[in-house]
Amino acid sequence: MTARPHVAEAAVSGVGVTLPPAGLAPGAAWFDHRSQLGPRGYKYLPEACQYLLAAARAAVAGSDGLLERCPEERRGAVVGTNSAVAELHSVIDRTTRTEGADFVSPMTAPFFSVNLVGARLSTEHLLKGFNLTVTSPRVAGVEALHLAAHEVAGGRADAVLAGATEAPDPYAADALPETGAALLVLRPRASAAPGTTLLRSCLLFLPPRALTTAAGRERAQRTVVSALDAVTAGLAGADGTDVRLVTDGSPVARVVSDAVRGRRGPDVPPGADVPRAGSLEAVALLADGVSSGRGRARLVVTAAREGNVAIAMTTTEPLPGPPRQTG
Amino acid sequence: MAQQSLALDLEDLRETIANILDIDTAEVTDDADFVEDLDMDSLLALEILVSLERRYQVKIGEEHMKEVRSLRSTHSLLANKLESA
Repeated sequence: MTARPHVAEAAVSGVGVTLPPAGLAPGAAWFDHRSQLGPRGYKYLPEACQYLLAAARAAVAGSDGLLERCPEERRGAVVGTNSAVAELHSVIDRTTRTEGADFVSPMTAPFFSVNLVGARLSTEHLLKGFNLTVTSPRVAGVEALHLAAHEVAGGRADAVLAGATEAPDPYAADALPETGAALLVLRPRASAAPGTTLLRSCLLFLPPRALTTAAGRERAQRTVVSALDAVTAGLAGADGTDVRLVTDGSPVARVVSDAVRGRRGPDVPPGADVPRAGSLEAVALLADGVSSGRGRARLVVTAAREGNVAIAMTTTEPLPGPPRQTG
Repeated sequence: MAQQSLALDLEDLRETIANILDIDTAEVTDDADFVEDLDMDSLLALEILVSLERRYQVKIGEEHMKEVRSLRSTHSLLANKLESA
């Protein structure tokens, strides 16, 4: 278990989301790549890649020209996903079994590599500094934000597009498939104007086997509380923070949920017991916090049965200096 | 899984090519050059080959890729393949 949490911090200069309308029936069409992206050139992209590009355009458009002002080699991308190409893998597998490998679509085959989804984002926005894709179960989206914030804070980039994209996972079983994308444009805090929304984040790993004993669960809760305190350090209006749990009913999630509600109060709504087959929800909640938070800090805590935990907060409150980098 | 082959119809082929190239059917004139006029690249050329092989149940082979340059030449190639099948 992580004893001393590493907190990353960056300023948020743009937000873009591409999400289906609420209440849409499962499987119903909701996204038209031609009207959202262009008449030609997007047909063969996996749908998660189309969502990502649409979200990126909105995020960049709302970032007041930040990206254009940054040299191309000072721009980066970090994308989190669990199921961006799961459907494509299923199609390739089915085609290979039933018709033969010669009949796999040459236009879509390169996307068997999930990195190609984020690569297309870099191609479209000339993000030549670095491009990273992360796939940790359920936390990949916040992990992408965390890694991006770490890189801009470390001086490796002046602007990074980071977030999550997902397409329905055909192997989701009893989990809830996710679809859509949510992205933030991150920049170094020092380069942002006062009042700019700040993002703070922290990643933890709680080994599930360590939670089988009372002592292990207690230690894990202390670790989570320590990370929560580090992320929210200096937040004057902590009591008014909008706290959201994205959990899955697992032992890891229960420990995290107990720690969060123990620290932030019993009014924190419990997370859903139905796990999500993706990493989008937490990033979408953070993006919504930036877009509609009206100054209220939003704290999102994600926990997955595999042991991955991600904590992130957005706030417009002028926090004291960047948290000490201990990781 | 084997599919039934289709009879070769020029208008059907035009629509198929347009769909693969993601353009309006009207742009696929009989002699429009797929590369020069319709921006076909090598991956799209391979996509056309695979799609036509599946649709018409013939083996075309990459050695014939240079013949997939216009609707007329593609139709001719397919007609020969179907005739010799």
